[in-house]
Amino acid sequence: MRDELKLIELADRYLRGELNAEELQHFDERMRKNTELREIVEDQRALMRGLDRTALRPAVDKAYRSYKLGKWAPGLGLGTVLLIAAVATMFLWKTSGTNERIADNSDLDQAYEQVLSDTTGTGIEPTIYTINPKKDTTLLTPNGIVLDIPKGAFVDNTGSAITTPVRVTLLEALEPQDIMKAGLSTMSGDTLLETGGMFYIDAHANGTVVKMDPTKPLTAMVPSFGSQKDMMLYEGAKDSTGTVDWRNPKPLKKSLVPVDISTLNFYPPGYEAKLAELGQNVTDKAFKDSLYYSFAGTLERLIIYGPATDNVMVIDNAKQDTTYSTSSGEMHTDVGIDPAKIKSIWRARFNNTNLATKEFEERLQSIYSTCNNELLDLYIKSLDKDLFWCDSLAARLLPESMGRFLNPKCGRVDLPAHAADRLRTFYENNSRAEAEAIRKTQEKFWKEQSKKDVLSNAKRNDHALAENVREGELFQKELEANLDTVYKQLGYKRAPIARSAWVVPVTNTGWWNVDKAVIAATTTRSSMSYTDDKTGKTATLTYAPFFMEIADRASYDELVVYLIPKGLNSYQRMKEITGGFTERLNSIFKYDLFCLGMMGKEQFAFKTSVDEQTTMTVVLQSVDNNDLRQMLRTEGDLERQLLKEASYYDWLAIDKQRKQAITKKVELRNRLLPVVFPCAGEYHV
Amino acid sequence: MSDQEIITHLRTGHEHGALVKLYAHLPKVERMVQKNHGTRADAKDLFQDALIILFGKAKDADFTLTCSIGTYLYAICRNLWQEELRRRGRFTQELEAAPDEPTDLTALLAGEAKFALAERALRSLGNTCLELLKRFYLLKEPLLAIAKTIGLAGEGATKTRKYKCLEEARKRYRELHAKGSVANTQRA
Repeated sequence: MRDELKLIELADRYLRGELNAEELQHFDERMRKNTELREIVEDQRALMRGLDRTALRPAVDKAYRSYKLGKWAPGLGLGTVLLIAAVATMFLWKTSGTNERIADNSDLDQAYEQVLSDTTGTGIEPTIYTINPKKDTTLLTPNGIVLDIPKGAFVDNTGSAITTPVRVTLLEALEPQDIMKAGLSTMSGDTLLETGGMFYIDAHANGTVVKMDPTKPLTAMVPSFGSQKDMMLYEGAKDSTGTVDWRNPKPLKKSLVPVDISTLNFYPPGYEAKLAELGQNVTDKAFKDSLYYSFAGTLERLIIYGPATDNVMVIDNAKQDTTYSTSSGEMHTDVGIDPAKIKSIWRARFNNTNLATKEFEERLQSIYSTCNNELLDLYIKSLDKDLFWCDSLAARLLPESMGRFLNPKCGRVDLPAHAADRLRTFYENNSRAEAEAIRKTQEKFWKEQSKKDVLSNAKRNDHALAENVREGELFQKELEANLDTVYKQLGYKRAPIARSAWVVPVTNTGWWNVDKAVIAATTTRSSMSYTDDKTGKTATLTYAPFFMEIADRASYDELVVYLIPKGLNSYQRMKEITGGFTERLNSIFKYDLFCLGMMGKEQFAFKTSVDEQTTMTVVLQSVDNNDLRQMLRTEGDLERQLLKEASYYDWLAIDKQRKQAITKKVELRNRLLPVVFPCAGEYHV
Repeated sequence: MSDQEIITHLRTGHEHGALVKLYAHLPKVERMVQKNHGTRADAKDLFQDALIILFGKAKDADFTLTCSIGTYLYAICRNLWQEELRRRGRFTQELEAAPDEPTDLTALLAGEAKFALAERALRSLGNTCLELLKRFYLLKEPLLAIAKTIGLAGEGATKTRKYKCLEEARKRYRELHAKGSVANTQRA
């Protein structure tokens, strides 16, 4: 081990360039000869770079958090939003349990304007930004405060928007010692406030202080620490002695009244209307819920299960015009709100929270139209905050959809300690679990249907094939019978036809003509007459048309009619035309007629012999398997085959029903897709 | 912040703002990954790996961009994702490349793949080892100072521990290498 330690130490020094020229030469030589040393050096090099990476990762993670914060989703409870409506003011925020009524923001006055020069004695380094007030700007201060300045926020004395660059100065005092150093007090009138932090902001353009457009407040998100109770914002004014008095605690909110969450409507806009339009049952909540939730599980992978080629349909993410640009870059929208998330929250567990309110129900409808799942998360993960808090963030980034909720400012439903955390955890875990469970169910269902389809196709093919074979064999038999009859009539003996295509040795050209005529007649099922020149004898074959109809034909899902020529041990199907079934019967046979019908799951049948009739009307009777056996008893071998036919059509009816149900299901799903995922692009199979 | 400014910031230790700016390219990567059998979480991990690679590259004095930084990042992501798809057995075809993407990323990414394994091996070591190695090699603290911080007896003990940690790291790295596992280090 000592040796290896030495080697590693040497490799270390080599990699850090600490070897002198002579040592270097030695080392290079050793490396050339010693593979183990080479390996050690390579490994060490890789490990060093790996170590570099572990050091870089925290910075990358931290930047991600700031990125998300700058986007607006505070994630796991960092950050408080404050609205700043006046410049050249100092702000203090504190934790408090009481809400107080406010006065409007007062205008700037002399006392405020002097504050800038006063801050030079605070010992805090100001941060200065120059911004273009014609654009939205997001600033990230050294202490992690995210400051959002909307375009046109700054106005001059006449109230028109400033267009020249604006110099924004920021002083932050987030730590208690900084606050003390700055000589700032925390008195509000006679009350000593418990402070969360202070910062000072002002703005100048062309050397003069600017005002703010009260309809375009700045938003500041400050990192918070400790407990997250509701934060209040106070404005500070220095009096003549230099002490800051904190006044104007920030606005008050409309209180929320919780209702039973099951009475609210959390369906996507247009969902119930669409169901009604499609003739579905809109009073059955369980049905509406499960249908809607069945769309979950697609969002992560953007696929929908169904009877497609690979069993899935792929959704194009977001139409191009539904991405939002903000100063922090593009915001990403999904194809729609994830039904799994709605499933997680639309339950008793969320009663007595911000979600179980009419106010949230309203907001949810707007959230649906934004197709932004992070926006939904924001509301759900901030149940310990005022609704107004979420609204301001939402409005900031999606003003068209969410701006209207800013007035009146809504408060919240108070929760017991840690309840918000528990609910958040539940929500995160449950949404994922639901989505996955539903996805699996869908996948399983469609895979099974796919398997059934494969089996079903195979069975249908087999049946069709068997039918072909039987028809071929029947033809042969009928042909043989016809030839025998004709030869007999002409008084000749006949050699049986070979099955293959080559011709039987011909002794007399006459015979050959007979065969040809008989084959033609049998094939076309038409009568023929042949006279032998030599003997003058005539042979005839007669085919007579036969037509039958079935009462109430339209009421049967499946219907098939067989003719059984006695003695041939085979059967043939009658052709169906409009109004009935037809066939040309060969006069040398006696036929039995056998009909099979399916109505839903019920079987119907009828059997009779065809005597001299040319037409017939038949009424089918309901039968079970025993009845069928009785009917077919007299057919000998054919009984088994015909019973098989009956069970095939029995199966066919059920299978067709299955396929129809699937088609209906798919159609319903497709018609609902634009309602559930309104922001999707195209669908590819 | 221009592309060059971003690189400079990364190089000079003012990386926070630069990195936050670079995350603006995340949505595009998310779309690419989601279209190709991945999830949003996959995309985030992938993107962060690419940032680490870019970050490392930026520290190279002779690194110059031949295209926009967004394109560069995207190219890295695309290549890494293709590799991941191969590893998952879901690779069907090359993903579409942007027109001015750099074409010489193979060598860089092959090297980075090894370093990613090394990172994974190191992270699996436990806090004491990792702290020790970081302080010694990256912060270049003397052994005695490290001993005090970590709570080891003295210089000798620290030195021995350092080698033990290195040996263990090397062993795990070799194992990962042998498995041919080019897994994402975030999931380690």
